[in-house]
Amino acid sequence: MENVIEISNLDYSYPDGHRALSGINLEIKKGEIFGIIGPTGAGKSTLLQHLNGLLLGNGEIIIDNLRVEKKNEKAIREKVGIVFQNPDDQLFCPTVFEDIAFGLYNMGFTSREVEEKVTAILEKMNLSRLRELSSHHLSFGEKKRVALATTLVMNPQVIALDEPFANLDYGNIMTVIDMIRQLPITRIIISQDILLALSICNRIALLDKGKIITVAQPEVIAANTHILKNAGLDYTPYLQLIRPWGFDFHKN
Amino acid sequence: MKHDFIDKYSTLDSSVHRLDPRTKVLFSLLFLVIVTSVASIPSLAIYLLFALVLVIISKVPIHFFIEKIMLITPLAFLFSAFIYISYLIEHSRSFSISMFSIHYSVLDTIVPIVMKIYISVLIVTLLVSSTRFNDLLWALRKLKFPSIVTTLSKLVYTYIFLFIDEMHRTMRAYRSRTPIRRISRIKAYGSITAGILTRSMNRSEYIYKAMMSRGFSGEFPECRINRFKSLDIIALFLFLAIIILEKFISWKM
Repeated sequence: MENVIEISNLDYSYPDGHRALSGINLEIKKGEIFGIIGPTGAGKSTLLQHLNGLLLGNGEIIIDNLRVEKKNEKAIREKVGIVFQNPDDQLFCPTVFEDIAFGLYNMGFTSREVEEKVTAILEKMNLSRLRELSSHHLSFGEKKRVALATTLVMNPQVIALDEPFANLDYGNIMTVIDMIRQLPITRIIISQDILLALSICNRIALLDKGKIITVAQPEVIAANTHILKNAGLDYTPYLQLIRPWGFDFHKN
Repeated sequence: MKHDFIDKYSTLDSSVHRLDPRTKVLFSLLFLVIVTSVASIPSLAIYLLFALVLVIISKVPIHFFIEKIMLITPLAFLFSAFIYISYLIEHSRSFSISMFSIHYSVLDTIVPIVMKIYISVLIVTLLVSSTRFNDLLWALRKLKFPSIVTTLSKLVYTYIFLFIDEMHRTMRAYRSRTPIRRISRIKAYGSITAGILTRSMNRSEYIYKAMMSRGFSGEFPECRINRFKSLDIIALFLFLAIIILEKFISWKM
């Protein structure tokens, strides 16, 4: 499978001098579900913002044979869609329709094309009834789905989701997982929820203190409890918690 | 957070709501110009009646307009009083001759001014309450208002909700840890204000990034398909008929 994203020697420091990313090298293949896990402050969201040029660090990022740099900004942002962790940060228009239409208008689609595309995505994601509502009036789960729709409607080649499962109930988590699985594009999931990331990703990169610790298949990462423990992501205490209920993870 | 104080009544369904935003903006401006140029009370009464009819058709609750009228009333009377006093100074003889002349000059100066202010408030409130803020900005853009004005207005509109959200969150956090509802210490005001501002700025940065990631390049795209309908033509004729009626009555008098 060919690479759709290639990151080489990426470094980034915030204006206050805090080094957020250091020597990142990563290759993400076309069509895969790629997870980036790590503890709080590991640099996951900073890395994500480099993918469509919101942040520009030292090093090189190639997206579908196009270098991420100022002059390619427009094309890169059409290729890579980002869904932020907090949907309230993503939804800023008076209605759901306008929020979803925002990106399409910026891409230069006509009003008629925008109308068709927005209607189609609303139907596909079962959000038609929210069309004329203000995003302030939606539940958190609905906001998450609308935020996803605002990016998907632009038909990106890569979608990067920052903590897509955070603050959702189990029903909404399953809905979001189903949506992610059905997307025929490259998906990057940034999560602290290691069990969910392990369950849906094809490959996972473990990020800690701005550095990639390892990139491997979920089963390899899951088995390597030592490195997970070092990164503060050891999931086995959760399993210990549910064992008294008669549920044995290994047996089941 | 749920707040709808700006677009509270703009989603109602009425003939006024269904008019093209451009029609509403143009009519409102024209209406204001005509009303300010008319001086006779009967003529103003016709326009006031017309404005009230539009208010009723719009289905926007009457108390919403009354609130605005109540708000402007002290200012309207104060303003009229100033004009009346200057009128008296200028025509000092009429003040001393008889009560009738004073009464006449009150009618002649204060009443038309108050009527003009009330009509203007009704029309502007009707325009704002029956049109979504976004559509209003769109209409202004289409009517060749400077894009810097509309873009800034839209950004303010976006960020005002964010600021209110942060304010509610901060106040909720404060109240959850204070037994009394009011802020008791002056020092607390400072830290709360700083907290709200810092959090708002932080979130506004994220919103800006979300806009950038969806191709925002400094100018908001047009988000509506609006076309003049037959209703707009009917409204135009109705408006013209009212102007002709008013002119006819003034001429007859």
